[in-house]
Amino acid sequence: MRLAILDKMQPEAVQRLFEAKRPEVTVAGTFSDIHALEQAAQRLKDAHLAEYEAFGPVPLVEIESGMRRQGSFVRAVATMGGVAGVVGGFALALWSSTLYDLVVGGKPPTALVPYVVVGYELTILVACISTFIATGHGAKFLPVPPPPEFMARYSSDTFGLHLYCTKTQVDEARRLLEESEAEEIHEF
Amino acid sequence: MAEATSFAKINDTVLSTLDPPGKKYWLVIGLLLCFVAAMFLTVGYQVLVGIGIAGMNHPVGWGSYIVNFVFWVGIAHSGTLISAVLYLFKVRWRTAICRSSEAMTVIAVMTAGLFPLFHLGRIWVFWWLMPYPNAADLWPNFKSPLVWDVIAVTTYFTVSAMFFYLGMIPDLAAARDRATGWRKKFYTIISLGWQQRYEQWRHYARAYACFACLATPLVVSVHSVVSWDFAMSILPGWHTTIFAPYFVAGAIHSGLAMVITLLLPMRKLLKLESIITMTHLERMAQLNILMALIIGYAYGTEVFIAAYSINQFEWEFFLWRMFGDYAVHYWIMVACNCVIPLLFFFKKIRTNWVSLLVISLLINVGMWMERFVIIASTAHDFLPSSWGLYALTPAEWIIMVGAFAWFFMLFLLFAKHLPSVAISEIKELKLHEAHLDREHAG
Repeated sequence: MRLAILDKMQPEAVQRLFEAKRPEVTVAGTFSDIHALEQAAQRLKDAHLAEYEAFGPVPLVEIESGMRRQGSFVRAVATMGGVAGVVGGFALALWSSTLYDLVVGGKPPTALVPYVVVGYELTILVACISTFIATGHGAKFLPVPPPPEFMARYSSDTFGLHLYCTKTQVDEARRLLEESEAEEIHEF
Repeated sequence: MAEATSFAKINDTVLSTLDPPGKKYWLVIGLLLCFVAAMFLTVGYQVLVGIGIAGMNHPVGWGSYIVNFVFWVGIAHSGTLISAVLYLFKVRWRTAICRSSEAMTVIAVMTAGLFPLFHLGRIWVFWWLMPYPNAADLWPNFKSPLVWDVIAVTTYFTVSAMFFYLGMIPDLAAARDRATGWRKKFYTIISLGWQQRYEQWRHYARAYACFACLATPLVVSVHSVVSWDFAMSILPGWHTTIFAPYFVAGAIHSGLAMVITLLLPMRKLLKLESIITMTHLERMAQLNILMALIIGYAYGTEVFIAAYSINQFEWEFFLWRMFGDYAVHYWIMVACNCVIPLLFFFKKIRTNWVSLLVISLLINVGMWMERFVIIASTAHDFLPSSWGLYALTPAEWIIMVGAFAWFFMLFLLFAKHLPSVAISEIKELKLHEAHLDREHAG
């Protein structure tokens, strides 16, 4: 994650904590309850911190208000995919029928009604493929092992909040997590 | 979920199903593989000597291959119904069974996809149906229901497979974090670096909802398009506007029954009774009652339309269908699809695993019969001089049995190698229930 100070008006200690360009240390706090995680994230957001990440075994949508980034571009991409699908489906069917424009049985080579099926199916197909690709891009799908700071417990029953900082900022980070009532604090 | 009270317990319960299977499991897989091999050998023989080894001939040009194709596409339907439609309606009991239903959907479409290839005879030219640029500018005819069918089923398979895989990624990561050895490597690759991060969840949650919205119209469209393979023709018994809803209802009916058939032994063998409870099976049985009533209404309407139309061919055809050469098949169809499922009105029957299994199997027998009755009854068209009868040849029986073996083999492989319950969704449901409890207490 990119480290930045978003708000120059924030307290001096917090500015010191997040002034480095690249995080050297990850300070992780763990929580057994999603509500504790939500409150901790909200506390960090209120302090205008940009560099933290939440982890948990359930879709973490309900803590969204405490996170800096909200929503997703996936829905917009799905909509664009759907539009491309319907246009592409009709265009393919219409264009290919004009390539072989023999009049058979007195019927015109092109016909809109049967092409509705093609347009309809391609709308869904292209929208879904777009959704999958967008999700893969957003969630950074790569067949690689998780980084060392990832705790396997996050897949089971533990929630986590990771603060990314430099070595000189570790004490501040620990203090912030302690104030957030983290049950355990680890450094990576 | 009486026992699986904590998140860790849910993980243990579900992920312990992925422990290395015993000899009996591989023995069953081996046995099923023998049937699958027999199927492919028979298909190979058909390629060598021609499609004449199947019983399809004038006047029945579409035989067991298309019967099985329609049957398996139908089976696929309830997976999407459970995973997408019930998700949008916020039906919470779906969480325990959605994963196995989605797996069933994907495997059933894979099974269905085999049959048009077998039916082609010349399997090696199947790609002529694909829309691709070619030198002669000869594109598929997009006005043909057969081309619609290719597009619809391909779309259905692609969307179902992506939905199934996307939904499973967080659980694959959970499997990765518990596994050791080569299994850990395997789950690491297929979990695509999932880390349960908020940055991943926020995209995932939207994508899941998008997939549910996009897959829902497919529940209606796919079997409608399949039905138009028949309804767009002018044959008596086929050329009817009722086919699309009638096929969709039938598909959901058979799919729900197959989910019950699969879940009953699965929950027992994988020790998932605490997660997939009798209540889940009961709810599906209740849905079967609804579907049985809709199908009964469709069967009745079909006959009424034939009688009311004052169309001699149509009415004679229905009389023959009900009392002619395939009368036994017809009445088995009516009994298994419309009458026997109504026994689920009795709580004792729909909460007893033996009766659930027997009735779900009978529904599938009935649904196979429905497709057979529809397709084989083309033996009786406008001209008495062209009438004939159709029966399955040994080659068709081998291929049909092989397809069932293929389906059950793939499902068994799924059940022991991939998380068969949506772990993260179950946990989310637990959170929701805890939240409601707090609200009530407060």
